[in-house]
Parts: sequence; structure tokens; C-alpha cells
Amino acid sequence: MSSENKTIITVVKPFSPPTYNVNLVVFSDNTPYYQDNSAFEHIYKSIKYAKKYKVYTVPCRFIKDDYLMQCMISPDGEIIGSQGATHLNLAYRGKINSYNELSIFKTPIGNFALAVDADIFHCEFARTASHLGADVIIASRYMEMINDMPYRACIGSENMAASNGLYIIDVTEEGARFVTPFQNNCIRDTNYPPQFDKKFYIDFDLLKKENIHSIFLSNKKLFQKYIDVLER
Amino acid sequence: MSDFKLKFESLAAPVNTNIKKAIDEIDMLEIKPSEGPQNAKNHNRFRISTVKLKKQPFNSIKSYIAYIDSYMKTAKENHCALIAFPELCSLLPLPITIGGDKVLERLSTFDLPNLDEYFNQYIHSLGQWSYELYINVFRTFAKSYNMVIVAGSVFVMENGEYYNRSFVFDENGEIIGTQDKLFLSEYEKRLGLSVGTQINIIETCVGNLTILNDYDCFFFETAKIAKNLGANMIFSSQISRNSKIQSKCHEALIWRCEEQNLYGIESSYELELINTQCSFIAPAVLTKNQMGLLSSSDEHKTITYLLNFDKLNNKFDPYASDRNQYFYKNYNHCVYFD
Repeated sequence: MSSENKTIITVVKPFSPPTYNVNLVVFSDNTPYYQDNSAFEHIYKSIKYAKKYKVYTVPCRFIKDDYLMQCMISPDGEIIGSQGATHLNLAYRGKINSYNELSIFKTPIGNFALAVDADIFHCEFARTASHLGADVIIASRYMEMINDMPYRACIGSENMAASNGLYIIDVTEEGARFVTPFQNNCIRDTNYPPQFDKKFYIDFDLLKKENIHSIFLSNKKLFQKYIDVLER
Repeated sequence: MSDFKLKFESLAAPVNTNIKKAIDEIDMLEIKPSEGPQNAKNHNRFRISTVKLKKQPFNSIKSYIAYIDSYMKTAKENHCALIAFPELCSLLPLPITIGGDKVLERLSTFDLPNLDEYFNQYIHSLGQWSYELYINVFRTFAKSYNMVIVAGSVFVMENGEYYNRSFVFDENGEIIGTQDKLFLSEYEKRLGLSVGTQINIIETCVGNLTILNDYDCFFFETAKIAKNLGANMIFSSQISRNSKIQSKCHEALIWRCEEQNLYGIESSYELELINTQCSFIAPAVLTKNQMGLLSSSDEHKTITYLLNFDKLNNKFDPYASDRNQYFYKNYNHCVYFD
């Protein structure tokens, strides 16, 4: 973790050098995903990028084994892990599969979950990520139809942040928004539509002060009673 | 539900007189019933009213009845099948009783030390009166106006535990459902309330509703459970004097309606220095501004909206309709049990 218990994240077009002295770089471009050789090439170049700039790196989405995936790379160029889209948007249904696992990437700069594409619109994903120990969700999506639903585009990440006491880095082909769970739900460093190359501070001391988990846990028995209903 | 009984330890002396007087006052209004939800031309479209109330220095039962009647009358004039009041509106008539204005002031001072002691005093001196007045007034109004009332809530005691319980009356004045608060605010914790243990779907002739007040609306699970059990509307209100919480809960209602494809009906109080509103909420694609708000007012009044359940049923959301039950089965046990 960087100084003062803060991590600095930025979102840039693939392989653009980070402007700031950041810990983690997320790539975003206007490609829905890479596949086959282009996926291999994109990940290979991302590994080189992570090593060159000594940053954790989250490359763009790619297809692997019929899943829509993203991964996280360490500053040493090692792939820490990958995450598939657990929910699919309409354009992909019937073409690729939903992923059924959720991984938390525990690193010295924080615990991260990757919400791939439509996952940001499903509360179950963020609740599980939060429960498994995530501090930050990096939500990366490419959805042409969402442009007709700007409000939906905003609330996915705001809802997740506030309901779970998480930071969300909301990444689209147009840029990124930073959403925190504090003060009227969210402080946005950028408005919608989002912009590239902003510096986002993750403050772990502030995160610890959020009490949303204790309220949630105060009536956990209620949810246990309806567990079969929640699985529908 | 008609044999619903509460056991308070004592009764205030003027109780029965006041309750009979309240019913007489309603009778004297000579209310002509509305055409009623039974006679609606289209059984998937209903006009609904929701209100923003203001604390009043009532000096008589008559003035309190006239105040509630003003909202009922407006709802009737707008051809409504249902009207919604905010939680704990049962406390409004307290100033009618001797010393009741001070009790209300204390209960409304959220950061008061020894709040639980004042609450106990209230329960033991005026709790039964509040409860009986609340039930009888709203029951009589529902029957007289031939209108469903989501009547806010009242503090009740059951098996030695206190609850903040909401009641719904049908157009015949019968209690057709209740809902205990599920997640307590700091204020309610300090009062010593207990949490509800189930989410009730209340079937009315207008539609199936659930009541999720304050933080009950803040967790997606409550609305998901309600939706899966058959609800198509969430009724919600907040009494918090914390503007952050007010704002959070208002936004949370919008999120719940968006993700679960439900209508939301919000009622409220006028509070000093805090922006509150009564509003109608729908999934964003069903709203003109695409922001989830059908209609909203921050003024102290009644607002009415024609809710079209056909639109709700026919809405398709390309991003929300995908469910991954394998994923939920994989993780729900560790999220909700461990």
C-alpha cells in the first residue's frame, strides 16, 4: 500500500504511460473484447507494460474458453488471477458462457474484485465480493445499448458502492468514474460521461469507518430464512 | 387479523372517550365513499396518492381528524384507490393529550440522552391510546372512503418486545397486512426496538405491495425477496433527521425499483433543514426523464399518480434479466450464513 494508507489508481487507453505516480493502471478502449491471437498479444503487451512502469495492471476484456474474462497483473509481470463475467449482457447470451466463480485479488495495495461487463448491474456480485473481502471493485464494461440508458449506467456503480461500503472504479469505453460509499453515497471525480486519465485515491482508513456492514449483519437471520428465494 | 391484540401495561385515563370521539368526528364528516378500486375500468391501472405530512400542534381530536381527512378528501377527488402515509404517523396526535406535546418533542429529539427512558414512559402512559386511536381512525377512514390505506406505522409491544409496525387497511376497513421494521436506525436502536423477522407481501385490490422503510430498502435482498414473493410495489418512508440517511434511503428506493422492476411509493414528513419528498418511482425506462422519478414533491401536500401495471409487466431490461443461479448457489451460503 502506498503512503498514508492510500492507493492511487488511474484509467488510460491501453499502453498509454501513466501520467501520475500510480499503483494501479486500468486499461479501457472501445473494443468489446479481444480474442484468439489478439487476446494473447494484448495480455503479453500488458505484462511488459506492468513491468516497465512497475504498476499493477488490469488489461482489457478478452475471451478465453468461451468466457468473457479480465485479469490482473502484478508489477513483476505475473498474472495474479483472472475473473470471468458472471452475468452476461444481451449481446453475448447464447454465444459465451456465464462464469460461476468469484476471485478476490489480495495485493499489498488492497483487495480487488473485477466486475466484468454486466456484473456491475447485479447486486449479488458486489455483495459476494464484499463478503469475500474486496475493498475495491474494478467494473469494466462495453455496452452500446447502455448509451440509451444513462441513468442505469450511473446507478449500477453507485448502488454497489453504497450498499456494500466499497470503492468502485467504473470503467467504460468512454473513460472512468470513481465512486465511493461516502457522503450522499458517492463522490464523483468525474461526471457522466466519464473521462480518462484521472487520479483516484483509495483511502482504506475511510473505508473502515463505514458501518454499512454492521447494519446488514444486524438482521442476517432474515436473509437466511429466505435463502431459497434469494437463489432465484 | 381482526383479533390482533397488544398488551400494554397501563392505559391512559381519557383513552376510550377520545377514541369514540374520533370515530364520531369521522362519522360527522358524512363522507361519501369513493367509487373504489373494485369499480376501476382497467384493473391494471390505478390512481394512488402519497403524502408529505407536517407535524401540527393539534389541540383537539377534531383538528387531528380534519387534518387526516384533508388528505383523504384530496385522494378521493383525484379518484384514488389507495393512499399512503409515512411511518410513525401514529405519533402525530400526541399533542391532543395532556403533556403529549412534550412527549412528542422528546421522542422527536433524536440525540436526546436517556431516549429509551422517555420511550418507555410514552409506551406505558400513551402507547395503548396511540395504538387504538391509530387503528380506529385509519380503519374508519378506509371504510368511509372505500379506499385502501397504507397507514404508516405505530409502536407495538408483542411478547415483551417493541416493534415499529406498519399496517395496511383494505377498502372495508379491515387490517389486511402488517410489516415490522427489518433494519433499525440508530434512533430505533436507542429506543430498544426489535427487528422484524419476515417480509410480508400484502395483497390489495390495487396490487401486491411490500413495505420497506428506511434502511429496509437499503439492501437489495429485501426487494428481491419481495419481488420473488409476488410484490409489484414498494411503499417506503423515512423519519430520520439525518439528511445523509434521508438522501441514501430515497436513492436506495430508486435502485430497488430499477433492479427489481417495481413501482416505488414514498411518503414523508416536512422536517426542518432537511430536504424530504413524497414521490412515485419506477424503473428508469418507464420515466420521462429516464431518472426513475415519475412524480415528486417536496411540498407539504398530497400527490397522485396513475400507475400502469401493464407497463411494468411488459418492460424488458436487457441488462437485468440475466440471472446466474449457479453463482448464487455457489456463494449465498457463505454470504448469508458464515
